[in-house]
Amino acid sequence: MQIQQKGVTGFQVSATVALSSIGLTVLFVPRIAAEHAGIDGALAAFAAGIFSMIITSIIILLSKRFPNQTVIEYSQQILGKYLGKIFGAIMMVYTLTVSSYILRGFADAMKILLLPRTPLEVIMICMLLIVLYCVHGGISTISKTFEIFLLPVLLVIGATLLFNLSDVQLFRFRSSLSEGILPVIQGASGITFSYLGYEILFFLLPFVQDKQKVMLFGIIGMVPSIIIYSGLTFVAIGILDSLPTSELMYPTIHLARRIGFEFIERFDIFFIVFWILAVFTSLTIYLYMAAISLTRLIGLRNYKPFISILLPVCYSIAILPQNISEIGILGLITNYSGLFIILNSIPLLILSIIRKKGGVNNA
Amino acid sequence: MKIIKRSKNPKNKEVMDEQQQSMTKSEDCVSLDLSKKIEENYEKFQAFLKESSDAVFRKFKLGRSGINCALVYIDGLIDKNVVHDSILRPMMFEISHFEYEEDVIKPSDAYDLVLNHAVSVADIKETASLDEAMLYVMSGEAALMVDGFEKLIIVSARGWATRGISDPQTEGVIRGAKEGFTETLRTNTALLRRKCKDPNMVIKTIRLGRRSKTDVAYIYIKGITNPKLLEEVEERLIKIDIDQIISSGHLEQLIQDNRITPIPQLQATERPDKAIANLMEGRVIILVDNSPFALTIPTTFAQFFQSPEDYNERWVVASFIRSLRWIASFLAVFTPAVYIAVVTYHSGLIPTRLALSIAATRAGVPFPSIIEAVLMEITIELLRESGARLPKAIGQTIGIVGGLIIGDAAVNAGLTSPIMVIVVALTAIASFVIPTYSAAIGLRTMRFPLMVLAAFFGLYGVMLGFIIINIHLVSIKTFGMSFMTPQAPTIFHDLKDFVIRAPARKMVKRPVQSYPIDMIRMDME
Repeated sequence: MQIQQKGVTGFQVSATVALSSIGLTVLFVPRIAAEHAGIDGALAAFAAGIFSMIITSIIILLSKRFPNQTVIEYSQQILGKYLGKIFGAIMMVYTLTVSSYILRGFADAMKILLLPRTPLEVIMICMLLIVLYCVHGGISTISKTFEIFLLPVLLVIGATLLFNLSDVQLFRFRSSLSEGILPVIQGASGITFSYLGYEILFFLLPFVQDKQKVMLFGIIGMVPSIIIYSGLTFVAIGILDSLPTSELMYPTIHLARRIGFEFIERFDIFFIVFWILAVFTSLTIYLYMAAISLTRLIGLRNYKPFISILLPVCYSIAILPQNISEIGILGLITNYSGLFIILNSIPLLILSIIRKKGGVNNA
Repeated sequence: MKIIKRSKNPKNKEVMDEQQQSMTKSEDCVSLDLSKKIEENYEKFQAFLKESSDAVFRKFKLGRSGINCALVYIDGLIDKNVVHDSILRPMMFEISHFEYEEDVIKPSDAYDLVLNHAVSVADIKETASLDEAMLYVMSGEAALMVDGFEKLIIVSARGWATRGISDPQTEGVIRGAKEGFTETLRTNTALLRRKCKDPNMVIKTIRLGRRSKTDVAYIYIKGITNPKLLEEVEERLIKIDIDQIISSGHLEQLIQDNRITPIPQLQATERPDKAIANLMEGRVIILVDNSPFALTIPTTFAQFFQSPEDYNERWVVASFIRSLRWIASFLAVFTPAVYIAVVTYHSGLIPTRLALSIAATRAGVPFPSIIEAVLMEITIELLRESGARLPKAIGQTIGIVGGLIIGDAAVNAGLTSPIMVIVVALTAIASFVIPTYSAAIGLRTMRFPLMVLAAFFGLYGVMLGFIIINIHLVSIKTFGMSFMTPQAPTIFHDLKDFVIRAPARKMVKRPVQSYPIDMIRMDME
């Protein structure tokens, strides 16, 4: 018996999109922004956010043409069997690699900031086991967990933003836009990766209750990450200036460290602890995507046995890099394949319209 | 009486077959059909009951006619006044009023006369089956036999010693009704009827337990409760095939969805007002005979934090108290773990002076904080458990001995630090703030694994524990509903009665979470 309606609710779509895109990057998004756009980092981050929002709506438009399929199935319809399978395989490898990257980045940050003497392996394995538990519960468990974690994550990041806002020195932004709009756009292209996570919309639609309103909730889901990323960049540059920001490993932690209350001496620990939730959510969603891609590629429905196969692979990739620069390479790979995936939504949409695949009339 | 034995294990079956054979050999096989001769019927009852000392058999003659009659009942379950004044006297003496007119009673009229003119009790049943009659007799009614008829008259004369209605022990309130359910099903249903005079409130009863034949009543309000929910409840109840239903807590575990969890998935309440409020929200209430706790179906996690008092006080106060309860639940689960994590790994998190003073008090303690915490937590659990078991008079003494003396002595002896005593006391107090006992105890057990996680990974471990608890709670389904409603999935309408309780005039509609058919609770016109 099912009294309650099955499937993912609109609010859950928003929460899922928001938490998937926040995740690991929130620790160093000001650095990336300052690296790519200097003093215009906040603007560039905002522009990148708007760009991501547009991509989000394109993905939703595309998915809505195939309301009962995930990208793995409809890409095969649009591109033909072989090209589609290749696209699906790229998707699978990409999501798996991203999850490894998140896992490694997370473990490194934990080791540096919170647990200096705990081995990386232990941190990673514990996290993976919990992710396994969550993914095993299926999309309903995932989305409900996200719903609960949304508030604490937003609160703690919001607090970091708000309590630092008063220290922003506006004179640092005097040379904003001094070289015109072009550097902003160039910088934005580098920040776009930070917003990745909304790829989940490629997969989410078959499970959504109200498929008509997905567009609205998906776009709402992008709002928190845009505010947080551009806000954090703005505050970081406003307080630290762009050059130091671009050289700090985790500028957000630096911001959090500046806050102190009577009873919480170091807000940064508090921040990291709640940031674990954000990482957990994005790791979960990527592993879920990887599992479901693999399953659908093979043509099966039940993805649950495959998570256990994917987890060791994810772990092995994550443990592979020996130093920071190798992790950076892993990050670059994931970034560009991510860009490839999300940009592919545009040709996919155009092709599906031209080839008259999907949609209301051609379903 | 039918002896029903079922077993899937073939080995068991062989043993049972043997047993059954030996039983049928030693005792006479009794046919369950009634006969016209009263002697035979009487003997059938005797075959079952003659070994039991509480069974009463009484043979007598109907008026002056000399027609044999017999009465069977179980002593102690029956109201003797009813038997004497409304069954025996009219049948033995007063029936003879009829005999002056038509001489003696004809044997063919005897049954009708007895039924219509002699037995002056309202609740009367007729049965032609020994099996059924036996069930009635065992549940406290009297079986009346008249010679020459294959039917029995079952006279309801139930009356046994019961506990009076008293203050609910586990769910006390300051402002609110002071009556709680008792062990008698009928009293409990009456308590509910008195609170809701709507004839649409349906009380259906089924018997569960092959041997215990426990009455289980499920109650709902027609027109509010979702028929799908009702169907599911009925289905799950009927499926139960067990020899005895011990109590409502036992039944709860037989019908709940998720079996591996410390958290109860049905709310057990001693309070009729709580039960009625749940009925009015479209839920189903289950009452089990011999159990003073009603079960609420479906239950959400948030309900464990609700108390009838919340609705008796102004909404500001109620919201404050309710948010206090939520905070308390976090404290009860996480305080020791966070303490261990902070002391062991992240002393930078707390103000330096506090960190220093904690370190100073801990200087003499020979154990790592995890050992210290587990030691003290187990002590307090022991105290709690002993307090619940001991007689009331001793209980208080033990509280003083345990709480004050052991606490103080442990600190002085250098076994534990004063801060640890505070932490443990705080967890204990916080966990008793949660109005539902079984939920509180479920939550309390969670802190031990959390403490271990904290000892290994510091705050990371606490967070992992938090995530696990959340995933677990979220994945529980109870009667087709998410356990964490209205939080996940978020139902904005129901957030009115969640951490904050909206003003009474604003709660126009029933909560969506139990999917009632009729949503409107209040007409604002």
